[in-house]
Amino acid sequence: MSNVRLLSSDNEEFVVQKEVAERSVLIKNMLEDVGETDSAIPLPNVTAKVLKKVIEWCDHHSSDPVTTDETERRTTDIDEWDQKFMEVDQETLFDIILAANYLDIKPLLDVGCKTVANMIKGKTAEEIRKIFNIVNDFTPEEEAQIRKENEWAEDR
Amino acid sequence: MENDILSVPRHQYQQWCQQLNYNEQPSSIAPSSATDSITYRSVDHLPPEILLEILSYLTNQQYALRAVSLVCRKWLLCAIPLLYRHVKINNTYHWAVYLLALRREKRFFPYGSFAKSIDLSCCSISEPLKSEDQQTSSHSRSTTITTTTTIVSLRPPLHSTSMDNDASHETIHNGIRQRLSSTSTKEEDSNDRQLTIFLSTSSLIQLAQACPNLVSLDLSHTKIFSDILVVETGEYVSTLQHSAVQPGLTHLTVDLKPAIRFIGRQCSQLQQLKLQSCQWVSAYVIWLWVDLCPSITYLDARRTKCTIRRLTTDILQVQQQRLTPLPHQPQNNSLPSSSPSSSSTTTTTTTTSSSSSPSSSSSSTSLTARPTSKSRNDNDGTATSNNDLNQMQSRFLDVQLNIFEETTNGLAALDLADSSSNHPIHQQYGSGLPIQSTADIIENGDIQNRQGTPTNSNQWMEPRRQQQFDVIRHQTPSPPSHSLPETRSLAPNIAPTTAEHTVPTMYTTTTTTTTTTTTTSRTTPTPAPASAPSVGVRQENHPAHVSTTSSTTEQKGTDNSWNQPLCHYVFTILKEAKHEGSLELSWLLE
Repeated sequence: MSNVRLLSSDNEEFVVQKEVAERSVLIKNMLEDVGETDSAIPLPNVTAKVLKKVIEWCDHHSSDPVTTDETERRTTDIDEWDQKFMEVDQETLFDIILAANYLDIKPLLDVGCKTVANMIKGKTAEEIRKIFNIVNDFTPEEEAQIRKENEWAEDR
Repeated sequence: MENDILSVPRHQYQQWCQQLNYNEQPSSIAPSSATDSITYRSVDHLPPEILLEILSYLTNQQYALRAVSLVCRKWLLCAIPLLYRHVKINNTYHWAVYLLALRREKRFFPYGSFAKSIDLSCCSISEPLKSEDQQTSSHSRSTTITTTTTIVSLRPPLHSTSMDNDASHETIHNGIRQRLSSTSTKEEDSNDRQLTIFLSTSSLIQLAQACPNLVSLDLSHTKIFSDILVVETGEYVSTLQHSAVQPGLTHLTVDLKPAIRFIGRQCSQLQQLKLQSCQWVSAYVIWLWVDLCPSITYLDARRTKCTIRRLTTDILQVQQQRLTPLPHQPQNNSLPSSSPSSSSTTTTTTTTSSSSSPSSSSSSTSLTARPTSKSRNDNDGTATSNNDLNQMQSRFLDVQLNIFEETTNGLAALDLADSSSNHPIHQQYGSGLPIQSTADIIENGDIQNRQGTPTNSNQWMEPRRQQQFDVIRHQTPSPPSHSLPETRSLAPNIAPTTAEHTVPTMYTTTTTTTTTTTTTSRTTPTPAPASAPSVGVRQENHPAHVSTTSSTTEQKGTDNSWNQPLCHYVFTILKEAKHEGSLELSWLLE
């Protein structure tokens, strides 16, 4: 089985099996376009730290069947291995999500987004701000109006 | 005062501003290298499309989306479309608040335009019914005493039983004139022990006004009542009358029919309607929905008050131009004998084989087997005779008369003065009835059979109306295309392809809505609605098959595809139920 060389944004090179690398639609298309080549594929938007994580995920899921059903993909719960895989700091988590988006690895993007969504579930706005360190840029009047307009969605 | 004004040179001011920005927004400084910009990530730096993707996993969590909308501006922009796309309302208060949010003048977003589906049933249990449940519910329905409860209190049914004694009884065989019907038997009370959302008819109108992109509407387990609109008519009303507010103002009851019609007109994409366990839904109400909302392809009217079992046993659904056949329909060409015991043995989703013909198929075949020497049933597709054209012309002018009457009516814009003479059943499905029968449903559920002579459908008109009719006919011998209300009403029993070739231009021109009776979505080239239920062929795809009887028969034998909207199917069922002696269909005369 042939290998593929991937070059991160900080010029670290990774050699991975072609089957593993082709979990990324971006890399798969590049390989199809370029053909057999010895040169490394540059990935300027992915750092070595993140690329390493992405390769780890792709390696673990290399034999997974490709799910074309959007609904099934979205409704499936995160499996145990993925839950552990996503137990990282927020910065890495968002980097993985962005890398998955850039490399076009939909299942990994789903896992990342589901993880963040699970962090949001059941939290109030203030709690969400606290978790993600977000600054409230509403004026008090605006916030009051939004609360009023969306009052129907209250859980009571 | 002049000394308070400080004059600063421009360059000094700009320098000050730059320094201010520098101090306030250190993160806005460009990173020293590209690597720095990549290594630091926070949720704040996620692009909106990723944030939208994350939030899309919360679409079934309204509370979470609401909380998200309050986080910051960026999150608000991403959350609001998701929050309002699939709306679930839990109680009547939230329903009122939701409507206020949609209709408020000053608001952040055009919330209504985001709405794709609205679910008002989530406070209730809506498990799929088994056949035994269905039989039980229909049995309990027959013994139910229907009463009118107080509207103002808006009490849930749990408390409404105490008011049953002093509530005035009201027969609701048509289901449209009732205000608020609640069952008083203990069996149904036990079933209804959950919160029920109370809807007013005007709230449905408001919903339709605000949500033009609505695709799915779930009104299951709701109760509905007609409310009052105060209209400035300028007419003298005695203050001694109960309905008088003050001189010049008139109380006007907003009935269900105008509300449904308004929904059909405004929400042209409405395809899915759920009315499960609604005690205000009768056969007539089902008919109104499918007729006035022509885009509906899915109707769940199970466990309703409708006694036509074929409408309530299963979900009615049009799938890929195929109307799901009902399981209990016989496969021969005769009218189906009523066999309720076998009706619930299979589900609609599993039966689309070619061997089981849809009920409309059998009924239409039986209809074509009738002597139709003078009938408008153009089963052979030969609708080009002069007689038919004359009849269509007279119908067209008849519709023109209705338009004229409604436009002269000051309330026509709101469509509240619901003209009884323009009901589509008269315009569209007269052909499905026996010869020249122009049956018309009027507001109170009775029927006006204006058959008259077979050749003149305008004979029933009153002299005054006839005069107006003449005026229209003389003043506008060639009516403008935009005033054409419904194309299918003009060529009711002719396959569209045939109609396009044979009917004069004024019958086939696409129209824009001008009056209250028109529905733009029903206009011209759209194929299906032009045929009456008796025409069981695929019209627009295979015009050759429509042309002769033999080819039509061949089509039936080889293909079960039915390019008919739901209303045709429902109408066929209603007609057959009427033949079988259903008492609920007293409004449907032939």
